[in-house]
Amino acid sequence: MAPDLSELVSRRWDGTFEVDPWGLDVDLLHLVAPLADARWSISVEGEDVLRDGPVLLVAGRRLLAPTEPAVIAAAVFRSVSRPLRVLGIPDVAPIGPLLRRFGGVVDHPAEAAALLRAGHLVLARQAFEVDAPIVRVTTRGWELSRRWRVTFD
Amino acid sequence: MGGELGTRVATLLERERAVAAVGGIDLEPPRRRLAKDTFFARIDPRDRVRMVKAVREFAPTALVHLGVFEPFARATPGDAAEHTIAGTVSVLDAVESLDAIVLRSGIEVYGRRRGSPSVPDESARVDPTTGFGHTLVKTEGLVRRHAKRVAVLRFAPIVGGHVPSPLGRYLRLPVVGCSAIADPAFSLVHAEDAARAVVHALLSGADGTYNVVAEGAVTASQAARLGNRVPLPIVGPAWPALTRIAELAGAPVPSHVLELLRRGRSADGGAFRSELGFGFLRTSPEVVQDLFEWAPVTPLRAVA
Repeated sequence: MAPDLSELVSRRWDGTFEVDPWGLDVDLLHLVAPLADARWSISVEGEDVLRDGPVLLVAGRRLLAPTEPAVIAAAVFRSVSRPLRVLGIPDVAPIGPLLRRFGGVVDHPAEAAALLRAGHLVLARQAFEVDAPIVRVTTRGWELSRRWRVTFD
Repeated sequence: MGGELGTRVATLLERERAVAAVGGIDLEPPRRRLAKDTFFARIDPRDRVRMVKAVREFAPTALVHLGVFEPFARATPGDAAEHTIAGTVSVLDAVESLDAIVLRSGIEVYGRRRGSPSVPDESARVDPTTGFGHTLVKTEGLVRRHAKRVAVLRFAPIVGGHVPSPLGRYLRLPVVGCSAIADPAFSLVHAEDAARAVVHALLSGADGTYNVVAEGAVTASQAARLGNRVPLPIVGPAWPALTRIAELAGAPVPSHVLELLRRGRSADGGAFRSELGFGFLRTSPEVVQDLFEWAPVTPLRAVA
């Protein structure tokens, strides 16, 4: 269940919010989730495979475009309430540290392996050998569109 | 054995039935009263002759080498590196045949180069980016192959209420500078957990390299808030001024702590937990909370 705003502000003030070793701040995800819902209307299919344990999600052709990873992350967070760790952020301030707060990580096999060992959902551009289920993600929509369809299979 | 960690390890080992005798060497005396039959010699780590004599008289079967001096914990960066390397060489010269060595190292060995994994496991490439990291790598290189079993424990920054630590001192300043742009996450390990981990590695027959990192992470601004300090956002050109002010305030910031504040530092400690069955008593945020908690002072009263 999403915490209310006063709870989020209180945690921020007294320092009791949670940050993981990769820099993800789940409270910030809860804060921006309504903005994502207002911007995009996303229909999701096959999300049951993401409910438990580590999963490597492999996205299709357009992952380099900035919108698609954000749409997939928003779809995952809304449908199964789990943050998605997106490989491929630039490790340069200020954009890198900012994206880390929302689940971004550098594109490094060791980073992906550590995330999967810790039980996270990881989104990559291409499949590689991992000790976790691999799920293909397909999206339908275009960069400026409001309606998106995200399918996990 | 003269540091907080060494003294605590000695007191934990004294309670173990599997340990016949405990002996220690350090430049500083132990921080707590040790058992009567515990041997201690106060020797400068650079004094090889006395070191060899003391170690050979004691004839240990296992060595717990904690003589790794963190810059600005108890010594300047130059002295810390010199004492660490000289002490390691001396003690390894002195020991003859050992069943086991446990070495205190640190996750600073992985460095924080751009594009490197932020949570490396033990198989990650060693690529230090600070002086302390280089010292740790050299120390690891010296120790390997000196015993049948060598357990290298790469600790996250060790912090505790009474432990001399540059990061601990910095976070206890009334105003804590943190990166305005990144404010990256870092992981810690509590001094008590560090001592328990050393004893656990020794008694469980650990052999190999392990990251010892408490679960979770904190950021500098979060640590400041947890301690009711004021977080001060800092951008690039202001860092040298901040470190100078911190030094004047009694908390000099060595390069590996500055790197932690600007780039973060963590590692995957899963293998130490799962393979060796070690359980941490505190998470990283709890380590920070403990840093700011002091036991109440109870004045002594004369009894009539």
